[in-house]
Amino acid sequence: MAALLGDGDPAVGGSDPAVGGSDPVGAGGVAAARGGSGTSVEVVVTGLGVVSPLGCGVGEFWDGLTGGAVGTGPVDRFDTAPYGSRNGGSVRGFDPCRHLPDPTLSRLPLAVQYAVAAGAAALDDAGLTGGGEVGVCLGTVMGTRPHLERLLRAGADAYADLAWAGSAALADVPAAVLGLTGPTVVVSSGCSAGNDAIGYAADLVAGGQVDCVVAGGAEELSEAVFALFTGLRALTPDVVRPFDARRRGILPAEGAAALVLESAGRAAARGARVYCRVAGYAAASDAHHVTAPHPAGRAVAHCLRAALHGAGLPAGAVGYVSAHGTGTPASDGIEAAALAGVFAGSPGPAVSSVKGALGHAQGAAGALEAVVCALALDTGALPGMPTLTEVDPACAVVDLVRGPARAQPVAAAASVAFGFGGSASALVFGSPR
Amino acid sequence: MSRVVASTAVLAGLGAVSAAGCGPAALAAAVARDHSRGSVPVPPEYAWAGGRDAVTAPAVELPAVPPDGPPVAPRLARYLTREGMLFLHAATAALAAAGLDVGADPHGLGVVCATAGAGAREYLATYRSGRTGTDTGANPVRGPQSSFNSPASHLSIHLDIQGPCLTLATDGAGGLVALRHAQTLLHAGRVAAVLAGGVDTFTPRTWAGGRCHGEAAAAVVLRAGGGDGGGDGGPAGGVRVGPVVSAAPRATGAAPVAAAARAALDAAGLARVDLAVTASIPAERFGACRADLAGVLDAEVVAVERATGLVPGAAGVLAVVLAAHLLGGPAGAPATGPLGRPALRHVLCLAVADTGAAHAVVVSQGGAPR
Repeated sequence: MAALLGDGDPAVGGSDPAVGGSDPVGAGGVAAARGGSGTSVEVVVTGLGVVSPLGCGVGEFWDGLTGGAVGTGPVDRFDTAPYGSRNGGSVRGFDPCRHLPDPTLSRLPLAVQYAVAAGAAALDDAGLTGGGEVGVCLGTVMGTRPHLERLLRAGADAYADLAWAGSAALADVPAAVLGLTGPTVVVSSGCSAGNDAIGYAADLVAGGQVDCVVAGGAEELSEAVFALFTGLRALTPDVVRPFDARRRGILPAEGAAALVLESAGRAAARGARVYCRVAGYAAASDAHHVTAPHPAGRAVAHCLRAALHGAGLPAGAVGYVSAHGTGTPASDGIEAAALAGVFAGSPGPAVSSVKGALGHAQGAAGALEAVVCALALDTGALPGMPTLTEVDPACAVVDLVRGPARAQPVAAAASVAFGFGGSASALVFGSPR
Repeated sequence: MSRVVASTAVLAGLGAVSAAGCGPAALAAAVARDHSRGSVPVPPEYAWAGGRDAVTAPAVELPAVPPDGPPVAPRLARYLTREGMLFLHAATAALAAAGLDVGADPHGLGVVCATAGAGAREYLATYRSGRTGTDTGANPVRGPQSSFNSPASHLSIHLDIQGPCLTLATDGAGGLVALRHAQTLLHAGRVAAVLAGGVDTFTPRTWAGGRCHGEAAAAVVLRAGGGDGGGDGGPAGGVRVGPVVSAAPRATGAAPVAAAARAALDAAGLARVDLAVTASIPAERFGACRADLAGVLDAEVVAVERATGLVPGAAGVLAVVLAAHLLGGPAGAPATGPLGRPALRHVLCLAVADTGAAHAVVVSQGGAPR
């Protein structure tokens, strides 16, 4: 039997080769974790769009996050009585007439509407409203399936309206509506899907396949997810408390976020505002259990090390980590220990999870958190955790941001995500050069 | 039209399970039977199912245990979804054929799986369990399989694959989109090899619109290796897969099918191919598709979907599996069975998404010129 590679993977093992900071691969954009050959174009973020439980629009979102707002609350879209919580993260302030280019799109699944709205806002922010050869990469967990619930609750013939059955629409519809003719793809790798969609989009740009991609994630509040997490006894009855000693579980949420990724050369040529660079990305699998994370957090540690290696950054260069931080008893401690291991020997970054404010928007979560990293780099403010009151000693191994926010300019930020099935991924963002 | 920059990949292993049977030879035999029965051009009435109540779609007769790979634990066999089991069969066959030792470098292998409907039944069961107060669907075993990524995730857990494990929620051309994604991973240097494939089984869409959907899974193992003749790491023989090229209906004045086929030929540096294989062309589009192809190709066109039904997630990879088998597979010995012919060297594989976007790739024996 032949081994896959003759050499070892530089990103695994107890030592972190990226700490030396001498990796020349990092000079080129989204460098591959294994020193790949196809990465020569620097990728930058030039536009942001958000649809969230804290409001629609980047300003509202960021003001809420750094002001200590909590966007979760009672869900009124369906009867939550059978479930372990009545609360969730419903999108606030979404108006099809205002947020969609064509209000008739409001007949489509909500996740598709959110994707269109976030994508349009991001392109507008980037100053790219004319369509053209732009790709669309969206992450999701449940795709358009929650639309089926809406049809069933309304007594409609779910098999006559099959809009719920085609989740490729999450990318295809925004592309059609916004006149984008580049490649489209919907990534559904579990709750790391938002990260993976952005990472894949960055690879497309870095590899020269397309100059610009709208990347992110979209999710619609799902009653089935309430049922699923009730069965797993993983819903919190009130609010999500990432890294808190009294954390009880997640609150399902919805929303969308989109980032315009383009080659640095193209962005410079048109004088675009650059929020940050996409410096590194990596994905890995726990290969351990369908719902339980590996006890050593091996996939999240591996992919974060690999993303740093690809970015050519020492661990100490990262000033902020947007953690997955779901608020479940099982995973927050594992994640904190994994982060502490990756950043051992360095001052250690500030760490926070925005899921206390937003709930868990699953496939959109990674995309929302990528926006958080872009804004943290851009503004010098780090969102805190307003629901964190008593730090779990097992989580105190990292520098948790308490209160609404911390003023702390950073030059590099990372976002990690992982989910059911064992997939994990990490993105590393850097300040514009 | 997508820009072509991804380099050619070496096909190291392939596997398929479909209504045609298990393995590429069974697929070739079934396609040949149907193909020989029908005339070319294929008549549009090849859609067997006429409405929602039709139950004649092609189904897989699956062996209880995958013939390749490690044994499936009884508990896994008990709770794994049908999509998961189908994908496990195809993937373990492809990995066994490739002779990869996953344990030697568990992060070196990635998985990309396309599916349109994996987990849909579990999703509905979970929703209904909540409504009715039962835990049949929402139990901790079935509930987590209600999202798209269950087949690929279970494969990674079963085989201890610790590289990227990605699932794409796709429509009719999913398999080739997965292949494109796999090539991007290889091109970016993220992994040394990728298992790319797709799976789907019956969903309510199966009987919608008079189309005949089937159930199937297909997988190929790709390794990086461009150029011809194995000059940069690949074997001199064997089968190579060119860059997957995509054409959106809005991007070009030409028909997407013709544009994608032409671009795939250009990417391979070819003026012609010896055979074309389609995999996801619904009956109502097949005539137009053939007409579009006629302007680009002077080659026989065979339709995998005639033997398997339309299988959105697996479609494009089924076509690649058939093409690779006819070209001799990883060993490089041209097939002499059904559809096989000694002079076969280049095969175009084509799939069309529900949006009308077309995806095409040239599979070649011994190495594509580029």
